[in-house]
Amino acid sequence: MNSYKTTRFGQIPVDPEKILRFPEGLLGFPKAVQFYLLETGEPNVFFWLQSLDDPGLAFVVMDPENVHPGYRERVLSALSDLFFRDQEVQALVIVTVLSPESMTANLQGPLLIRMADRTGRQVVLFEEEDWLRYPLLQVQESR
Amino acid sequence: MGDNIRIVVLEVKGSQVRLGVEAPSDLSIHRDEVWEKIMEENRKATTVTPDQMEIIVKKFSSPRIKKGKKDGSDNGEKKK
Repeated sequence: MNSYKTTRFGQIPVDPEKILRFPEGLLGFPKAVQFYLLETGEPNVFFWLQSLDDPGLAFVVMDPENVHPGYRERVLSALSDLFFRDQEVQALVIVTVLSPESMTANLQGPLLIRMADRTGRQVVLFEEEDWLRYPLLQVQESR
Repeated sequence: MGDNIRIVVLEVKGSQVRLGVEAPSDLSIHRDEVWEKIMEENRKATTVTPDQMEIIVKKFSSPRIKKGKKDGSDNGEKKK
């Protein structure tokens, strides 16, 4: 176990075997190439994707199957990317939080991770424009 | 950026800059806009705080998002 100092979570233990690598970075963050998944609590729908290159950089991510069953299969079958062909692939989507009442998931630019070497990239689906801000929570009835 | 492609600044609003791409094909303009949107969405997504997340996780413990029905059709997407 190594350890890494983060802005949000202080010192976190990092198992080198579980580091996720995005050699091209994420879109807009070309230098953020190593990430680590942290739990956010129960239920385990959301995870923090903490950068190991920038202590202050973290995203909230989730498995898109939670909101769109069959998503991963659909995306993989549409991709012509050899990098992911015949591979076990995990998909994560980045969650944007405007407020706890207004959250969206970016299903248009998923992070795909090849599990064999935990290496991935953010891909862009050009045909799915209404997936950029896929609503997670729409109306809050408690007011 | 390669032959025939120019990036131009369309608008500066506060700390945001809107860029335009001049390129011969409509397709590549469209594509660059999509890239731009994803980048913007990525940037917006970096501001979440652990406090916000705590509130959100509590909200979600009363199931509100539609979970994929597990009809016995096993799709082993979960990893340990």
